[in-house]
Amino acid sequence: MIRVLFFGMLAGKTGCREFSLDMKKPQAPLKEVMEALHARFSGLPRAPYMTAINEEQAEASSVVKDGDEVAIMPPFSGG
Amino acid sequence: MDFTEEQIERYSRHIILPEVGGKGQAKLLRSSVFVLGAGGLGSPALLYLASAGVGTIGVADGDLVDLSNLQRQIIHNSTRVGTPKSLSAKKTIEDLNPDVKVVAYNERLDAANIRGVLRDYDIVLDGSDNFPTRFLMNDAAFFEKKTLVSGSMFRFEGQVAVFKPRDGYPCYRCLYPEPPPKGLVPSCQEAGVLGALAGVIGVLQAVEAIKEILGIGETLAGYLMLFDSLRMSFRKVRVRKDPQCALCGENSSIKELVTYEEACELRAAK
Repeated sequence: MIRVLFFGMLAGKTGCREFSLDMKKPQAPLKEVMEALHARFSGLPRAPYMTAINEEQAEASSVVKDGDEVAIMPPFSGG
Repeated sequence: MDFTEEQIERYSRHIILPEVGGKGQAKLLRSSVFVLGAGGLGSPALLYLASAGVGTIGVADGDLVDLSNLQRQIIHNSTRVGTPKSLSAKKTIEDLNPDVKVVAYNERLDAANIRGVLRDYDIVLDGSDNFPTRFLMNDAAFFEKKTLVSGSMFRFEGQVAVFKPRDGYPCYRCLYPEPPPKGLVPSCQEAGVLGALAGVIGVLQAVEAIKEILGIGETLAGYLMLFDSLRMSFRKVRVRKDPQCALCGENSSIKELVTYEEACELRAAK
């Protein structure tokens, strides 16, 4: 299982702050994980996101392994 | 630098700290910090920078104090409603600490004037409330080679980062290359915010600015800090310089300031 964290407005769009995603394989590129999340959450807007795997900034090609934590962090504008 | 007796007393709790001492306090008094926005983040940041004896503080804001600001913008007060925020902030700081020289910019900074303003300061803080200004500030800080302490908020959550692209650390665009598509992130008055959250995030910005001036500890350069006040959780995500960054990357395409359109209809309508 992959532990997915939604920050900011994404928690509202998906209806959850944390989600356990089963990729049904030991590892997958982050791009595939994002596709699985879009398939699961129709309210997750399609946009470029800042993402992290295990608290390190990641990109679409980064590899996510079973047991990893993926954070999706939109920017905030409020000041 | 010779302190007056009053200064020795005023800053005694700093001077007694080995990491600060008389030397550090003198550094603070010689330093200059610019704060963009005398709002939710700017208010607490400005108050602590002023208390710390930062010698010159610039504050820019083109708005007037509104009653709805006072839930979080603690540098203002009820008698200042309807008056310019930059001048209200200046007055509060001058009453708090006469050692501080305050320069108030009663205007919304834009591509034509922001670089000239930042040039005069050692460190710059972003407490703005919209993406066009956040990108403008990041780009201007990069071109002027200034360390940028960034803070932002959404409802009960906040982000803090220190951007120093010239030292191998990322800039704001390495994290967020472009403003998000319209409608994704509620702007300005469209989203509420917990007033006290502004205190947490703005004070963290002041802490980072003071550490940068003193050269002590480890700042958030290379990290994005996320705070969730409902869960009382802090998280630090390691972030890195993007070699393809359009601003600070090797083959950068942004050579001058870019003006983005405001995506917030409410502000435009106001």
